[in-house]
Amino acid sequence: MKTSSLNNNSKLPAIPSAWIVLILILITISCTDKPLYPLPQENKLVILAELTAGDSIQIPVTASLIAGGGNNISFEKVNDARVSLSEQGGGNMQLLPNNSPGFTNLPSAMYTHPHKIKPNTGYVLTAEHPLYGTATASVLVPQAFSVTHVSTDESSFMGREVLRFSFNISDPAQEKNYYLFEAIKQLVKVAHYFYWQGVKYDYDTQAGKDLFEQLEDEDEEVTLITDTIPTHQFLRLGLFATDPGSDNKTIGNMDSSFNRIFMTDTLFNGQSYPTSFAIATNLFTSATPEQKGIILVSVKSVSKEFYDYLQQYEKYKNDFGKMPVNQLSFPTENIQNGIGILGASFRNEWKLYYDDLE
Amino acid sequence: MKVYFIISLLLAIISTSPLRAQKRSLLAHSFVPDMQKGTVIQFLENLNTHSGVVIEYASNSIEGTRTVTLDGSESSVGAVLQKVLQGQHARLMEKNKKLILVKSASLIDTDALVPFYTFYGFVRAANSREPMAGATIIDPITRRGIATNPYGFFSITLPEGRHRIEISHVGYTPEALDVVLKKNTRAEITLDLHQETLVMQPVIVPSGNLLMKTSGNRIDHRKGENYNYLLGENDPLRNTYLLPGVQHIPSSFSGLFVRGGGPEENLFLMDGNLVYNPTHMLGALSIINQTSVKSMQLFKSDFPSKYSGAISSVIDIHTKDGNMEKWQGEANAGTLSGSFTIEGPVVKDHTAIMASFRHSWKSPILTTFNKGLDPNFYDAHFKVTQLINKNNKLMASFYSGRDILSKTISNTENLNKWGNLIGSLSWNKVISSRSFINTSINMSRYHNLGAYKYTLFEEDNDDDEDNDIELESGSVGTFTSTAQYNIKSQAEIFLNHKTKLNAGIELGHTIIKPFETKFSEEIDDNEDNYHTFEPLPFDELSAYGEAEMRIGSKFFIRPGLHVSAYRFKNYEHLSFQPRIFASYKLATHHQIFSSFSRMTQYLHLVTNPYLNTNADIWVPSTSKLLPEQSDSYNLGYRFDHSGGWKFSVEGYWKELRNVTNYVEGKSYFVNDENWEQNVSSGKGWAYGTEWTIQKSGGKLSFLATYTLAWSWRQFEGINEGAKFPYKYDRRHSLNAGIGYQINKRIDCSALWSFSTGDVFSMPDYLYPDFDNTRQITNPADLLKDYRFVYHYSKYNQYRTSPYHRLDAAINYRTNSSKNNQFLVTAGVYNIYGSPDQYIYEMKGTLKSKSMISENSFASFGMTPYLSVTYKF
Repeated sequence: MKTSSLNNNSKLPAIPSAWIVLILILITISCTDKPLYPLPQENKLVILAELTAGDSIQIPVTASLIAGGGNNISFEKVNDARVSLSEQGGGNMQLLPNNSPGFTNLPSAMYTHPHKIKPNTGYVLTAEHPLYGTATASVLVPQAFSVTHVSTDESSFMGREVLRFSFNISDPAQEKNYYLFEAIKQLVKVAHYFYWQGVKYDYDTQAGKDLFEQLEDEDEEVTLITDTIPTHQFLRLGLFATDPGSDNKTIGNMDSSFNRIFMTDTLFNGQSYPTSFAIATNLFTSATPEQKGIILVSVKSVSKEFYDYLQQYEKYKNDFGKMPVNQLSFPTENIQNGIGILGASFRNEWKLYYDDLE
Repeated sequence: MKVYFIISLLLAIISTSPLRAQKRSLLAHSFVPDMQKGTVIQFLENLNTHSGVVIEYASNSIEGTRTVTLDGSESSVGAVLQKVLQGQHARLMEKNKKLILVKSASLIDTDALVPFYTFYGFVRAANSREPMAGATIIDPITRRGIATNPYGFFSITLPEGRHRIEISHVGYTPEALDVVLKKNTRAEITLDLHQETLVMQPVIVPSGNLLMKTSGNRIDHRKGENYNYLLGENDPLRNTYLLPGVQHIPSSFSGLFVRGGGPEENLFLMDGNLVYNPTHMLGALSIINQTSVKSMQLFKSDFPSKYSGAISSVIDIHTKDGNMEKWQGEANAGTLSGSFTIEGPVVKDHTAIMASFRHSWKSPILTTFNKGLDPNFYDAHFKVTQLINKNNKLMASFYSGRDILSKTISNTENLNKWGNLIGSLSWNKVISSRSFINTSINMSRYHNLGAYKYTLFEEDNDDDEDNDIELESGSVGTFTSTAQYNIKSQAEIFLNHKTKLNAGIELGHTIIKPFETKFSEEIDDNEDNYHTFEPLPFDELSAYGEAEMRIGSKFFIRPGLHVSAYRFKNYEHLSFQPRIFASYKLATHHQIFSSFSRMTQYLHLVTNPYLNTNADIWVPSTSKLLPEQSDSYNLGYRFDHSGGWKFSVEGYWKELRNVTNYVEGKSYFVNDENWEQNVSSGKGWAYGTEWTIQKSGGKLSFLATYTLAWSWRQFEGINEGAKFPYKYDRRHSLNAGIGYQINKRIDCSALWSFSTGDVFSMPDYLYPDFDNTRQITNPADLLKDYRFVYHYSKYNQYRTSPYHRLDAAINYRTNSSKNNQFLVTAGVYNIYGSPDQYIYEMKGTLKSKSMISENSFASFGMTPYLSVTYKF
């Protein structure tokens, strides 16, 4: 049989109109997706705070900007918010905006209170604003821990001069602890002044200097006083993770420097754990007066949310520009109805003096 | 080897036992009546007298005076009684070596008495003896039919007597054979190519009015060539893109997304061998050479039990053996590449080889219309087939392919290098008239290097990029390689005319070679410079069993089970994967079907989020990264008219478990100890409906498919644990193709594809840098002007613009002799230059405005093409 048994003269079977109607209905009900790229209409309060045991309260408050909205990227201080912090087992503290010169250059308004933060204590933050709504957050300050057997030695790491900072962490056993190490240089202002006839004169001005020299020529008893005044400005020092147990592997190349070193007590819960990290020494000293300062080395126990935020924040900064924005690691936040992080820490800190502060 | 011999022995025992004959031994006695026409009583008396078999009956238990006429083909007691007692309310029993006929309330079944014999053999193409997969063998009288397996083998059990068997295959002239079955009979059937039906045949091969045994789609790669051209390249895999529920996503690994599944969830088999990345040019073109393909089938809802290892789809491709009769070949020169294929007998009717080779080139047409595109790929395929005897065949095949692709998009240079090396040795054996077994040893190796170089510029509101200052640049690269070795046996056992068994066993060993993310100033494309980590090997032992059962003439069911045992270091996993498919014939042209399948996949592909970089990494399942699983539920209706119209609609629901994703932000594998921490697993859902209407035959052909689908994912730690739409959650997809045969030499076609856009994430807010709020600055930070942080509220909350594309082509065939024919193809790909990818970027610094930029790209812009093929 060589001929086809197919019938080529068949009529087109009618598709029932009901099917067409059904298809149209299905298309219609499923077309409820949002328009292509609608932008939010209102901004939110932004809080980026760290409550450190033993320190007074400082809460930076600002407002967000709408991404892609065509507005200039310039953040405004929010000075008219009602900010309060309630302490577990304690009272409720009203924070007020602090207009001291040290906070002038911040992108946010600084709300402060002299009360000292306590370790192993919970806090709830509330910030209200008529335009941006009410943002809240809560955090538990980690309990105290000690660092022993601290030693330093100058060496090199990957061809760079570093200061190796070695120590033992005495890890509390009752809970999981999150540690981070950082080093910053607090810039100082070296002030020179003298008193004459009960009046204080600034030697660092030309008039003051001329007066001082004149008084010296006249054999007047006048003493030049030098004072080092810490500022609220800091330089971040590069760190190298020398302990393979650190969590920095997921941030970037372990041979490169980091802003912070991250470590949990997974391997040493409840024990005394020897560890170290290295600090790049290239900024330890400075020829320019504006960059003289004191090296502050910190070993902190931080709240889990703060640990996650800062780790992702480090990854974000490390990856920025290397991949599309929507592929970046956005830090996980804990502000309800707002943006940002309320973190907490217990800090062990050491001061190192390398600059000539005279 | 011990396993194989045990299985073969079992098969031999089962398949060579004449089950039906033993059960009705008296009925199988040979007997030819003295007369062709007579009354029932006369035939019974003749049987008692001359057959040697005693039959007892009461005269009032039957209509003894009814006249019966035999056709002369009856040669057994059973065959004679079947004809004589047809239409009688009676029942026949065999007892004490006698047949006893009693009265019954019901009629004697049409085949209750007659012995059954097996009609088996191979269907091959004339002039080449190429085994034909998917040819149908039908006995229209008994309505029994079967399709040949991928090796061209068939076995059908029919009652004793005369039969007119019809054999057909799309594109070939049907054959009819008159067969008189008196014993198991073997046939070697050849079909001629039907010259008048070279084109305008259905892409999706209809099952005709046969009861469906699977909802998998058999693709006729030759007949869909109107729709599968890419710049003149005839790519059989592109036929699958026309199917509803199948998405082709350019610039992605493998390019294939099926029913909401990811690109790594498709099992691509070439001659039973796994191919890790079956595409060139980032998914634009497959590695399959059209001239070497024998059969292609896609399963996306109903998975026969022999398949496992992918949770979304299986594409099973078998290549030709090679022409056993004469030498022939084909040479092609097109816009994108040049290729040739040659096949022929080394020893006629015993040994044949097939060799094909393809290499890309930069034609002036390509570079004129696609500046910056620099394709560089090749394929080499070689196969040798040896017929040992009529029951045994050996096949050895080898494939090598490689790609080097470089592109520059948005100040980012991308480089991809990947390749496959595949080899297999296969043995087909006809064990008996009712059993067939294929055993193979396979090897598949794959390597992939993906790297990009980024440059960050200081931005301002000036659109002139020449004024931008370079702040930072660097390169990131990833290299990985994978190798799999396996041995497997798959058997088909035709128990009787209603039941067929499929069973098999497989042992596999996979090694994932080291992978590393490398940071450097410039792109490093030397694989030897990538740091070697400890290999990750795992083993898998699997077995399956399945029954194909026809119940009555309207109902078919295929239950099965696939069991696999997996081991990676100290982690072991046992997976039970039940499968079931059922179909029911409502009427001659109407069927409904339903299926459930559970699939398990032990390999995870973690897709790197880098822009336009195929830097994907395979990782094994572990105790932390459990095997991926899917449960698919499917319900459908199909209308199949012999006049060439076909309509189908299906609804499906699919659940996915342990699907993988990079942990947000942890997209680098920087060392081998903690790579599992960079990967998270979650779950997903996909559901929707799929519609197909197709008209073939005649001068005009038409194909339209529509899909309405949803696809979701949910990962702890992403989108705050809430479910979010999968990246390629394209709500609507429509394909409409039309072809017209102008005359015997010229035909033309057009294809329009449309789909809703993809979803994507973009930040909706930005806020100050954390250190900035403490006046902590980093002097080494080159990105001072970017000291702010983006924030986004939801994952994948936005959707791109829709995708659509129009292609057109025209073919001209010289009316030369069959041995020398030219085919000239001309067309335009992407007629109006529509993009197939949208990229959104956020721009802005502390000195400028925050802006969104939308960039659209097309893998290939509007490109005319010309392709010339010479067949000899």
